[in-house]
Amino acid sequence: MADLITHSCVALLWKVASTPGRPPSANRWRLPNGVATFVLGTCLPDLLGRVPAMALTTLRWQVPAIPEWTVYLWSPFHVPVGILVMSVLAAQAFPTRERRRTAIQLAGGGLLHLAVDVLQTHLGIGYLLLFPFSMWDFELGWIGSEATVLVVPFLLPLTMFACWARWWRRRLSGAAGYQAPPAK
Amino acid sequence: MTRWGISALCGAVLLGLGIDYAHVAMTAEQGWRWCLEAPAERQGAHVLFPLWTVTRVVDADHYEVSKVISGVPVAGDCSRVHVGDTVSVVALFDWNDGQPVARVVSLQLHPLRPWKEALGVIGFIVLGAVLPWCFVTRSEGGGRVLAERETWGG
Repeated sequence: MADLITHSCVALLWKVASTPGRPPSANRWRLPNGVATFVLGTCLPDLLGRVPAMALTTLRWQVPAIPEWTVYLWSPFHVPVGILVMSVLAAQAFPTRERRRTAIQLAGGGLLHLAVDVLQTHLGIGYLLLFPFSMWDFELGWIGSEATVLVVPFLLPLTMFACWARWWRRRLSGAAGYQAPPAK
Repeated sequence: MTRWGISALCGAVLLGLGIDYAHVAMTAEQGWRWCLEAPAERQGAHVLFPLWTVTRVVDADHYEVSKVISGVPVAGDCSRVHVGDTVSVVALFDWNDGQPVARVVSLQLHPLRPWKEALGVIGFIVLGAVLPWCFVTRSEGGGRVLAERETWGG
């Protein structure tokens, strides 16, 4: 897995690049709709699938009575099927009319998370992208498992610049008297 | 189906996936545990320890690594490893007359791992501070639901 900062930056860049322009807002920090949900979705596979497993693994060294299966129980949060189910589940916490959109944003973020993770290489094992239907594992192996540490110093300023540039563009379009397109 | 029905169904599916994953992981026909089940037959089998932690250095040629299984004895040069290091080891299983040991074929050190973990912790703290601000609760149908904050969406 890459770190949460890398995943969050990639999710923000994805949103900035993929969301079409919207009418400028009175709120200068206004960002494309669903950004927070998308970023949350990109972080959940690690927050739910890795953090508890890592904590339990370390805890078991001191408390061996903790059953081993408790470590593995969280892993489905880090496979595509689990991410889709988790997204539908989490979306139930949102208003009825927003659930479908929220589930899509969460799932999109989660799948983007996996797309970043499969770039890495690990010794002998990849990601179980087809679990539970197949134990086929896959990773592209283009970067080392710690390569993101060297990427973050560049990725973080780039993300901040991209968000700032978007805000600036929208501000300029607002100053020029932006008019929303007529409704069809 | 109601909101609670969908939630219960999704929860049950996730629990089932977790149980299936645990079963598969604990019965896999590879790894240290599998070798110990029939050590004589599996003498010389390849075992992989990707991203395991060095938890003890015994002497100049022996140390222990831990992850889900703790205290796996490893035979290999200790000059480059220290307690707390993260390593990836390719080894051969050696029953060693009742004292099983993983004999190192290749060793990969991960010196940037602590930095990566630090980035993970920083990211966790930043998200914990920022994301709750991005959502609000509101009333719907006699209950409370989450909504992305209007100032963030648009």
